[in-house]
Amino acid sequence: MSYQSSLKRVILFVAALLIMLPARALLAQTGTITGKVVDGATSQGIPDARIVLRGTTFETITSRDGEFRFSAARAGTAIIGVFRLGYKATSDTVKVTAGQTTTLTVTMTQSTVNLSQVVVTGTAGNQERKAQSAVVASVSAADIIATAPVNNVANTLQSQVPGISLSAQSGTVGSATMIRIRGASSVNLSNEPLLFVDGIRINEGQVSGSVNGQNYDRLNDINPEDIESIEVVKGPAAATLYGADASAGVIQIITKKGHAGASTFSQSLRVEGGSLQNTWTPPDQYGLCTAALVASTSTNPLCVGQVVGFLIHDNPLLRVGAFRNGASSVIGWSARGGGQNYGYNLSYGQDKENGVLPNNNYNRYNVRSNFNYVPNTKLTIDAGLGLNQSDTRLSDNDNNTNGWFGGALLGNPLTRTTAPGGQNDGWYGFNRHYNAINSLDHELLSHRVITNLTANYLPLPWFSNRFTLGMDFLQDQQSNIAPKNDSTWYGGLTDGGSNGQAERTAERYTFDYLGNLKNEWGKSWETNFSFGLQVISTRNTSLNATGIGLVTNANNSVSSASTITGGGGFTEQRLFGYLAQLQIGNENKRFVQIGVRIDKNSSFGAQAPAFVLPKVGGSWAISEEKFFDPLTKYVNTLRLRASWGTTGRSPGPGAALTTLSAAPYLTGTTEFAGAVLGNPGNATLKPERGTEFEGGLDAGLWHNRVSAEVTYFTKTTNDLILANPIPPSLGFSSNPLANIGSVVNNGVEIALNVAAIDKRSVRWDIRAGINTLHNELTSLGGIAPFALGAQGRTLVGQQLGVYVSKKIVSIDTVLRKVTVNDTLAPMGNLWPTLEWNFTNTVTLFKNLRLSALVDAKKNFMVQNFTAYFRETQLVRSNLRIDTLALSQYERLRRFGDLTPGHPAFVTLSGKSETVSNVVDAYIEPGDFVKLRELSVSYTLPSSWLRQLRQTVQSASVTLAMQNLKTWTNYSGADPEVNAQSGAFSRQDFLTLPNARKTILRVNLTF
Amino acid sequence: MNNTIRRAVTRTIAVAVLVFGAPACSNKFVDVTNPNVIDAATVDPTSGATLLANSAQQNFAAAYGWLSMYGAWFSGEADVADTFPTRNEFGFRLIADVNGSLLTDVWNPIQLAAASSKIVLDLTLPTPTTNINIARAATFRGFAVLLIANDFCAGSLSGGAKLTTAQLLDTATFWFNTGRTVGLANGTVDGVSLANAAALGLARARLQIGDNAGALAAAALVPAGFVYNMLYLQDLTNANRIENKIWQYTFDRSSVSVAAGYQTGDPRVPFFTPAQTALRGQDALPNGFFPQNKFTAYGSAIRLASRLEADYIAAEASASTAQRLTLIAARRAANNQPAYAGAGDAASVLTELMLQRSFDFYLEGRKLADYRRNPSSTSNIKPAGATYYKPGYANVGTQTCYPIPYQEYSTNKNFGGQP
Repeated sequence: MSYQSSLKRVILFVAALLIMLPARALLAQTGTITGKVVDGATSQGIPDARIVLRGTTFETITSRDGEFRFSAARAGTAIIGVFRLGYKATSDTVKVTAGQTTTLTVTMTQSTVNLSQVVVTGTAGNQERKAQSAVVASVSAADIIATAPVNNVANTLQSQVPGISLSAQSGTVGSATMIRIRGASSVNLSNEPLLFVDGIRINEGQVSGSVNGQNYDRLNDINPEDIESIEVVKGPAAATLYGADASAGVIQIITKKGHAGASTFSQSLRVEGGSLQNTWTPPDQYGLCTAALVASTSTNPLCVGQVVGFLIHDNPLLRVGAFRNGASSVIGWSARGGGQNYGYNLSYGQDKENGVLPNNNYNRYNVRSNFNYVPNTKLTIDAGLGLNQSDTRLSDNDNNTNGWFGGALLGNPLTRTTAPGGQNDGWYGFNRHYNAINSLDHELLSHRVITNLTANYLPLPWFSNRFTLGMDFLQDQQSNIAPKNDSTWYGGLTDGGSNGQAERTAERYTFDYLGNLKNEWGKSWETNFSFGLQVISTRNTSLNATGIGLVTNANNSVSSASTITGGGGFTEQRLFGYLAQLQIGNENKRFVQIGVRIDKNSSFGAQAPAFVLPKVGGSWAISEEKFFDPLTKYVNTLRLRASWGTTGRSPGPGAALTTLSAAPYLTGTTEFAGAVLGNPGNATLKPERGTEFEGGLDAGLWHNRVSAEVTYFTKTTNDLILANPIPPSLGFSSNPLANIGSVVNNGVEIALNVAAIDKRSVRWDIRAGINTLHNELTSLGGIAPFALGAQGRTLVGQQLGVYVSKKIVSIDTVLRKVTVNDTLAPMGNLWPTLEWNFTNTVTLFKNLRLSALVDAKKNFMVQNFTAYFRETQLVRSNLRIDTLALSQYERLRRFGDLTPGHPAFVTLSGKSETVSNVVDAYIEPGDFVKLRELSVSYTLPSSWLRQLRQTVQSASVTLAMQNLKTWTNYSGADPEVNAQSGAFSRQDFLTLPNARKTILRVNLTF
Repeated sequence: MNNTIRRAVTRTIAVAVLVFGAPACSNKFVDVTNPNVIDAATVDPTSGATLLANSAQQNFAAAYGWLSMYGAWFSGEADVADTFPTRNEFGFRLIADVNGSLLTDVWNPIQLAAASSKIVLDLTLPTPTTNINIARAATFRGFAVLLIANDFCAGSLSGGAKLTTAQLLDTATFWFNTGRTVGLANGTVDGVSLANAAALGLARARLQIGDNAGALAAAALVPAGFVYNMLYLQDLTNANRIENKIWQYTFDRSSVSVAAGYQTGDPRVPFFTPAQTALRGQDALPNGFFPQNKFTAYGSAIRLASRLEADYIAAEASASTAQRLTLIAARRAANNQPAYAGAGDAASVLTELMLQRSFDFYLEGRKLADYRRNPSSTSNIKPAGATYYKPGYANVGTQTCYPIPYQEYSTNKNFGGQP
């Protein structure tokens, strides 16, 4: 296996090198083009505009002053194309004279709609947005970072693109954000979108080895400062060419590049400091004093001297001052420049955050270099190398009855004590008090290398080739340490000290070839035929060891422990896919695309055929038609588009095999290798098939000051991979996976941009996004409904993972009888059916910018498991203990009949039922509106900077806040958090709410 | 120019052929190994019979721990100091058929034990009349089926039809006979030991079905001093499979608390009072947490078969009050208890016999079957309708055995629907 795979890798690498060999030296008959791109309204230079020299591979980016330069341009007539997000694309023609320099100025006008923008994702070859039949959203990361308190990629996408739903799962810094694009459609497979960096597929999703309900996130490794833009492919209609794994969408990160063609150099420095504050007050814990506790000999300071039954309360978190003010600091430096035929971008970033709970820190260091080399007009080579180190320490908390919140919110005030060395002292769990929880250390140290090598080869003006080779290699070192203690802090052997260590590596290699043949047929017709191959290989290894029982905490290495256990694993998955796409354009305003991708994947069943993914779509810039002219006074730009396509989601490695599971057996006191039945397997297992239609329009109104993007989509996932239940009496450890069932997601997405005021001294921009989502399980393939998530179920006709409970039918407050359904009934949505966001940005005198972002999620439920536990399991809530705190009706609704000997609830058929199946009161509407971000940014006037002898070219100061205010009826801490890592839970269980963050940032450019 | 075009196109095509051809020429590109799972095709079942038979025995050992603990909660040996509502349902004997603990902790492990034994028994193995793997698999299939019969109200094996308790006991009888015959014929210490354990299993099965003569005959086959233990070991990696479950749930989870009726000081039921231990119950019990101290380590063995149990079976099956009183006297004396001073009628003596039996086999998974066999003679079981010892739950229910899990009858087309 290794020989063959190595050989193939060598062949691929040599192939790439062959193509990169410069054919010849620079052509002799060349000249130089220099120029400047300026804003039509302000006459100021526009930085970061993309300049392409058509018919060549030449491409560059404008400097901070808007300047650019192409050397070695062929003599003759040349066409320059200019693109910039937020501006209307433009082009200009220049005449290049051999040995001379030609200068031009290109003027761009701001526009909220831009059909000429080029997208690189979701299509074969760079395509103008106008020709794209399905939406590929583009986000300018640099523009967002300029004002928002952004320190990870998820922040960058927050409320930017309708249809992308992000939920920060915990207020713990460094923990994961759940991303869903156009809903969830897989039950057993990931619903996370695929991630690409400059064409290289990287490891995505949450890291295995969570800390209770908190998860580490691979996405956090990327430094948002390194990102030029992010393109989001939302669904199968646009993602077909990404193959049998892309049904949950694709996020492509495009990093900042250098400036070839101009001898430039600039540096920028970002310095940021900030704080994080917990704004939530944890509830008190209650208890009723017993006779022993009120006695004069009692050591309980709350009960001693009181009467029996006296209601006491305690708040361990506040009592010990467990919350702290978190802090954040960011230092980012980058240098961008280039010469005649090369460009580069170098960056360094460090991001440090301390969370509001003890032992929660996040430190990230990034170094990235992008180098591009243009040996001649036919060839460009881009090489990128990103290095990352992330060190995350997560508090012992979240979905953990013994962590910070568990210990405090489930703590019993009756255990408060003044006795020296007293045990729980108001905290829950064995003897786990503040010192015990504070001693636990959970850390993940990750090192990551993401590298890419891309060659664009243009042997003929109508024939382009792109070769991409890259790798994402990461290594995790995770440790979970519980120090030895002389008491019973944790219970069991762990009191003797425990050190769990895990090392993981994840390697993902990408090779991608794309050829493109472009032909014009007469004046009206153009064809664009693309073909290619994508190969991706992924390997994951893990090795872990745990040592329990230490002599001393000073020596806590695993090998020093009295009991050592270990484990390890290895998985490998490979896929390759061929793709082809034909695009036919008519008069550059009517386009039709047809395409297909054919995939093979090592995880398909042995008898499963290759996976064929077709697509078809059309785009019509109707506003460019003659008959539309009368309307252009109001509707300047209008494009209609429709697309249909398919993608898939491949099963995991080994999922199709009939397996045994390793299971040792004992003979005497010796363990031997044994085995038990694993999975019956399924030789015909194939990917889930997502088929999507989307249609919509892009419009620019009133001189393009208003732009609207409206899209309707309907995505059907068939061949859903479900565990087909077999009788447990067959003895298998797990059920075989089968392609049965289907899910539908559909909705409407609207993006609106309005330049409400565009005056010389005042500019007011409004951006709004809204999307609906209808998610429905339409078939289970005949199998019985099963539990999905913490309190969800698969019910046909309902959302995937809809909340269920035995619903209360009636409450008789006289007889104290609460009657409930006999069967589990749907109680509400897991996924919001409506999300919207609204951003207002006001710019005064070109220098002062104020921005506010409000967003909302509607019509979904949250399982308030914290309240459930405090009221019904470990009773600490005054709502339960204080019999006067709630009405009789509400007490019955929440707890049922508490009369000793009476069933809490009674079903319609007369059977008794417990509160574990009647959770009406604890599934609450989670609807919220949040003031997510507020910022003010001031760019120092040029006149001030001139006094600094032009050392500093630009400077700005930004004050920004995040998570300022939430309006919600949810009774828990935060409706956004989630204590479960599984896709189908929204459970608030002892989870830290999102903290308020305030930052002050200075940006300097030299 | 023509040369340029030709060179460019040729070069591009050559590279394209290379990159297209490399994976396309070899479907082996997508042929990977995944050592995380064991491809069943790579294990030869015949040469691997010893591995499979021993694995089946360990499957039973793991299930035995689970069933002993849940049986203790159900039959009043222990109080549920666990927060899981599904475990409390065992405490107040009102177990829903969708109870997750019933499925994953009880039904699945014992069915795995039964099914994994059957794999060995279905093989065509050499020297089948003396093959130790057959003796082992048959004996432990017998015990697995016996426990299903004892604890569940009905059963099913390998996705088959619904079986009544009597049918299950007859099935167990068959496999005990096979195990005993092959074990004896094997003649090794291991084989004979398995044969003796099978004899005890046979006696239990016949007693439970009401075949007292058969039980007496089988009990007589168990030699004096015989003990067969299920072995465990501290193994944190394979804790659920290798470690003593009851100790795990006492020490790690603080879930097993000795019920009041067994807090008598009898040395057969050692325990700690709350004052004697730093352990705190995972869930509060009104009278405090009294952790068991019979099994004191992850590696504590649990007795499966013994001559002592054969004596109890013989005493019960004989229906001889005198024989029963003799055994009662011996057991009391051996455990520093005063002589029996209760009534001498048959019912009272049977009650005392069952009480002594419950002390002797405390936390060994016997009492639930005892209760089903002698419901009016079994002590320390809360009657139906009694108040459960923890608030917020229903009164004690009427169940005397576990229901068939929903997952089984809803997926097993041969079962015939909900029982």
